[in-house]
Amino acid sequence: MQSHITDSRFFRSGYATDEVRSIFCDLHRMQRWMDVEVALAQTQAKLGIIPQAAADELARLGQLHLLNQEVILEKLQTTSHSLMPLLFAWQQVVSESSGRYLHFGATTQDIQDTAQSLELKDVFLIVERDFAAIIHKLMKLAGDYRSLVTVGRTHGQHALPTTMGLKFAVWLDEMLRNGERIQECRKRLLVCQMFGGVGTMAGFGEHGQEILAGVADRLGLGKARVAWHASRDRLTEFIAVSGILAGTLANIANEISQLSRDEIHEMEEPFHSGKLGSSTMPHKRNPELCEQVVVLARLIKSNAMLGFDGLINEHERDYRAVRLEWVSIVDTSMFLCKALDLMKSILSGLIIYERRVAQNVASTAELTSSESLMFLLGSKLGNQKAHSLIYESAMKAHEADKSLIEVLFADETVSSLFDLDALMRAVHPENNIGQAVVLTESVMNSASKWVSRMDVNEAKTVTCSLCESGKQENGGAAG
Amino acid sequence: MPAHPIDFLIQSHIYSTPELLEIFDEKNRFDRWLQFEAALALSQAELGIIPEKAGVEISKKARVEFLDLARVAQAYTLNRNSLIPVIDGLRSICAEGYGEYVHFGATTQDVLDTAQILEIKEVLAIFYRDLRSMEAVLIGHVQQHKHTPMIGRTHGQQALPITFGFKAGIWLGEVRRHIERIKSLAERVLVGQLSGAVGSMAALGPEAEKVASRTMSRLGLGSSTLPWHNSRDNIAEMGACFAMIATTCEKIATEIFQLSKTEIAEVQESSSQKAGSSTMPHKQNPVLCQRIAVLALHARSLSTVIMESMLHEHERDVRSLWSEWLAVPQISIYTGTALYYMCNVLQHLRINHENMKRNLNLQKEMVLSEWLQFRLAPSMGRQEAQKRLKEIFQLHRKNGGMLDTILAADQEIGKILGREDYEMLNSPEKYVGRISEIIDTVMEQVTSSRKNEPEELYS
Repeated sequence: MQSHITDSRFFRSGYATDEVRSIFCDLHRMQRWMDVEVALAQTQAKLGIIPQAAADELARLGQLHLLNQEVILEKLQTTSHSLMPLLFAWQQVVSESSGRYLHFGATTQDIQDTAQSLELKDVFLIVERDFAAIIHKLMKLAGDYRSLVTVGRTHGQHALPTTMGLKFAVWLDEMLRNGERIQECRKRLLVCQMFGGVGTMAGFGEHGQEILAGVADRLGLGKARVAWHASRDRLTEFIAVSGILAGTLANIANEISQLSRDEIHEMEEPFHSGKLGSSTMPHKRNPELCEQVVVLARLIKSNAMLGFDGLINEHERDYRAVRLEWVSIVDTSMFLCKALDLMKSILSGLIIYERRVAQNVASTAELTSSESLMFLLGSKLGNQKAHSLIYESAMKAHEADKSLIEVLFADETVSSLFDLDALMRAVHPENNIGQAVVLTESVMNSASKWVSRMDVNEAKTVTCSLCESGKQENGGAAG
Repeated sequence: MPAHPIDFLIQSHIYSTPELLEIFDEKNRFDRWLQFEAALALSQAELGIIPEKAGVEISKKARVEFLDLARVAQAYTLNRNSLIPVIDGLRSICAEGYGEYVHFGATTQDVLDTAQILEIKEVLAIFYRDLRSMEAVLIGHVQQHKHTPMIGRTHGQQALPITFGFKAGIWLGEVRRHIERIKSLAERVLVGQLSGAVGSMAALGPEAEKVASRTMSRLGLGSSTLPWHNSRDNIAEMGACFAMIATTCEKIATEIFQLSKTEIAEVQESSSQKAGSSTMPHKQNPVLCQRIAVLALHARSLSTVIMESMLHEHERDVRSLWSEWLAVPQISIYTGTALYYMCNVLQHLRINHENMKRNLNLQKEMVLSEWLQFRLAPSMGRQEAQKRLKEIFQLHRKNGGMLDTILAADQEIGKILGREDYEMLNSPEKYVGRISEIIDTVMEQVTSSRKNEPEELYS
C-alpha cells in the first residue's frame, strides 16, 4: 500500500529520486535516532558519566535490525510516543545494566532534531553535487551560444535583439547567488540539539556543554549555542532557500517550455524515441520534464509557507512545529532533489534550433531594432521627435503590413537627412546586441572562480541499505 | 499623503476603481458605524428600552458630517479602541444628554462586523453587475466566433483544432458559475451582528432578539440570533470566492497574453490608451492583462489571510477582526479592479482570424494525427496505427517534405487512404468534433439563467 505519490511504485520517479527517498526511509530514520543515542552514550562514557562497557554494548546492539520491530509498532499504537517504543525494544536486547544508561538525560526532541540535521546533511550532499553539475551545464551553454543572436521579449512581445548566451548567463548568475544562499544556509542549519527537557541541560548534570560538544563532534554536526527546540528559524530558512532555488529552476524550465512552443520552437527539452506526448495525438512532443520542474517548485513554495508557520512555537517546546517539519522538510527535500535531477537532464540534452532562432529574430528585425533606429534618427531630430515618428510609422507599418524602413523612408524629413543604407544598417540585429557578449563572459568568469572554490565530490551518492527488507541483514546505518 | 498605490492621487486608479474606493473611504466607513447606532437607537426607542426622544435625537445626529473629526482624530491618538472615539463624537453632539443612550448594550465588534457586511453588500452588487456584463461580452464572442477555427494547445504545444467561440464558451461557463456563487453568497453572508460582549446579549435586555432583528431590518440586513463574532466561515467563503473570481480573470488574461505573443499573434489587447514602451517605439503591450495577473496574485494571498481569521480564540479575538480589516477592503478592491479591467479587455479584444488560420495550418496534417489514427484503426488496429504514425511523424520532422506524399508512399497506409482522406488532412478546421453542439448547450444554459434573474442583485 503506497499511497503517497513519492512512494508510488509507478509514479514516484516524477516526484523524488530513489537516492533522496533513501534518506527519509522510515527504517533509516529510526536507525539515525539510534545513532544519535549511541553518540550520546559514548560521549557520556568518555566523560565518566556512564560506564564505558554500557556505552559499548549499546553501540554494539544499536542496530535496528536486531530489534523486534513488531514490538515497536505495537507500542507506537498504545503509547502514542514517537521514541519510547524504540528505546523499549532496544532495552530488551541489551543487559539491564547497560539499558538503564540509554537516553540518559536527553529529551526526545534532542534525538529527533539531531537526527533530522543528519538527514539534512545528506540532502545537502545531493543538492550541492547536482547544483554543481547544473552550473557546469549552464557554463557550457553560455559559452557555446555566447554569440548566437536571438530576439529578446518583454510583455511576451519581441522587444530587442540579444544573444542566447546572455539568456543562459542570466540563469547562471541567478544560480550562483543560489549557491551562496545554499552555503550560508548550510553553515547555520547542520547543528546538534542536546539540551534536555526545557533547554537547560539539567538532566546532563554539570557536563552539559561537554556532552553537546562531544555528540556534535562524533556526528559531524555543528554545536548550537543554545537550545533550538522552540526556535526553528534554521529550518524555515532551509525551506525558504529551497523555494528560491526551485523557483529559479522553474523559471528556467518555464522559459524552455515557452520557447519550445510550435510557433516559436527555438529550444526543446531532450526527446527520446519512444517517449509519448499524447495518448490520442501521436504527433505531440510535450515539454513534460520542464512542466514537472514547475510543479515541484510550486509544491515547495507552499511548503515554504508551512516553514513560516513552524516559527511560531509556544514556551520551551512545542511539538506542533516538529510534526509540521516531519512533512514539510521531508517533502521539500524530496521535491528539491528531484527538480535538480530533472534540470540536470534537461540541460544535458537541451536542443537549440539555431535556424528557427535566426528566423524569429529576422521576422521582426526592423521593428526590434527600433531603439537603435531611434538613436540614429534622434541624432538629428532629437529623441522625443524620433520616438513619436517611429511609433507612428511602426503602427502604420503594422496596420498596412509594410516594412518599417519603407514607411519611414517615405517621410520627407527622414529621406532628406539619412540615406537608406544607414537605416538598414541600424536595424541589423547583429549590430544591436549591445554588450551581450561581454556581459556573458563576465558571468562565465565569475562562475569559473566559483567552481574552483567549490568543494564538491561529483561521484558521491547517498544510499540506504535498510530500505529493502532483503538487505536488512547487512544492518547498520548507511549513507 | 497617500502611501499605498490603491490611494495614489496622481498615478491614480491603477490598482483600484473610484467606485470601489468610495465604498471603503474612511468617512463612509464611519458613516456606516453611525447608521448602525442610529438603527439601534431607533429600535430600542420603539421598544421603550430608551426614551423615544433619545432615538430621534441620536438618529438625527448620526451623520459623519456632524462629527468634529479633528477631535475624533485626536481621541484616536489616546484611545486604542477602534470605535469609542467615533461614538464619543456622536455622544457629544446629542442634545439634552441623550448621548448616554448611544451604543446601548452593544459591543464594538457588533458595530464593526455589521458595517463590514454593509460594505460587502455593496461590493457583491458591483461584482454581480460586472460579472454579468463580462458574461454579455463573452456571449457576443461565443456567437460571433462559433466557427472561427484555431489550434487548440496542450502542454503549450499544438494539439487539435478548436474554434475561438469554444474557448470563449469555456470562459463563459466559468463566469456564469461565479454569478451563481455571488447569488448564493449573498443569501448567507448578508447577516448583521448584535449580540453584545460575549455574544450572550446580556446587556441588551429581555427583548434583545427583537432589538437585533429590528436594527438589522432597518439596515437592510438579515439578522442572526446566534452570534458570529468568533465564527468567520462566511467571511472566509467570501474571500475564497473573490480570489476565484480574480483568478478566473487572471486565467483569461494570461491566455490572451500568451496568444498575443509575437509569433502567435492570434489576439491582441487593444485600448484607447497607449501602452507601449519608453524605449522601444514599436511595441504594443498587453498591459491590462498583466495588471490583472498582478491583482489576482494579491487577491489569492489575501484570501489565505482571511481564511486564517477563522482560527478565532474564545468568544472574541480581535486578531481575526483586525486582519480582516486590512484584507477585506483590499481583496474587494483588487478583485473588483481585475473584473473591471477584464470587461474592458474582452470588450475591445482584437481577434486576428488570419493568424489563427496561419497557426492552424503551421503543421496542418500533423494536428489531425488523432483523426488519422482513428481512420487507420479499423484496418490496422489502433496500437499499430499509432506506432506507425509516430515513426512517420518523426521522419517527417527530420526530413521535411509533404506529409500526404509520405503517407501515400507508405506500403500499408498508402493503400488505405483515398482522395477524400487527403482532403480532410488538408482542412484541419473540419476536425472540431461536437464543438458546435457544446457551444449551443452552454449558450442555452446561460441565456435561460440570465432570463430568470434580475439585472441588479438586490431588486
